Amino acid sequence: MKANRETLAHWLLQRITAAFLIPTILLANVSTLILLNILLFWHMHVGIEEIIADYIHHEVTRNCIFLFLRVFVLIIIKYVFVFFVLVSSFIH
Amino acid sequence: MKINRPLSPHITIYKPQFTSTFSIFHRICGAFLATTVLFSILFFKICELSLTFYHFYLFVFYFICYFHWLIFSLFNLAFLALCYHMSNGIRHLLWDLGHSLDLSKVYTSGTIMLFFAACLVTLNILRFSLS
Repeated sequence: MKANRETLAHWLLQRITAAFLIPTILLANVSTLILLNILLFWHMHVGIEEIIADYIHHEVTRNCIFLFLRVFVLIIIKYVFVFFVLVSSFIH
Repeated sequence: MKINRPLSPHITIYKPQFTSTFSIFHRICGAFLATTVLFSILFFKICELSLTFYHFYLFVFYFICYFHWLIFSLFNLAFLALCYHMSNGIRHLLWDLGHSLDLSKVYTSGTIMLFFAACLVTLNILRFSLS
């Protein structure tokens, strides 16, 4: 039951972030950069996790890759946040 | 655990249809976009950290001198993939809401989706070339 709820949460998250990403990408602006950053990397993370869960059958390897992927995406989000969002807010 | 289980030859005799092609290209485009975004940002981070090292600076400089077309075409390809992924994602969202699940409607919505993606590409090219 717990696994089912987790999968449902992943599925819903991917759809909700996708629905909010469409106008955010089309109307990309300095003021929407923080929203774009969070939504884009969230959507990307869920998508990569889905692809990895489909094609890697060995459980320990899969969980290890999930761990590294989470750290990698967190580092990238932090970098993008600092570099683009804060810098652009200082310029304006 | 069955490790060396033989696979049936499903890919070699599989006849590709519109539905399966759109579906697999949605996933391929998503994976390509994700790798492009993540690794280009990683490359920026590496550059920011180590451009003070002279030989690395020279390497980046000559790489951009000789292979600027590679970077340009990579971003153009990523833009095409973004248009496709976005317009097919709208179709996927419609399916998740329960609309147009018949086979004929799937085909028509696929054609509309391709047209919409082409329109998106041309509109953005026009916008960037005019500004």
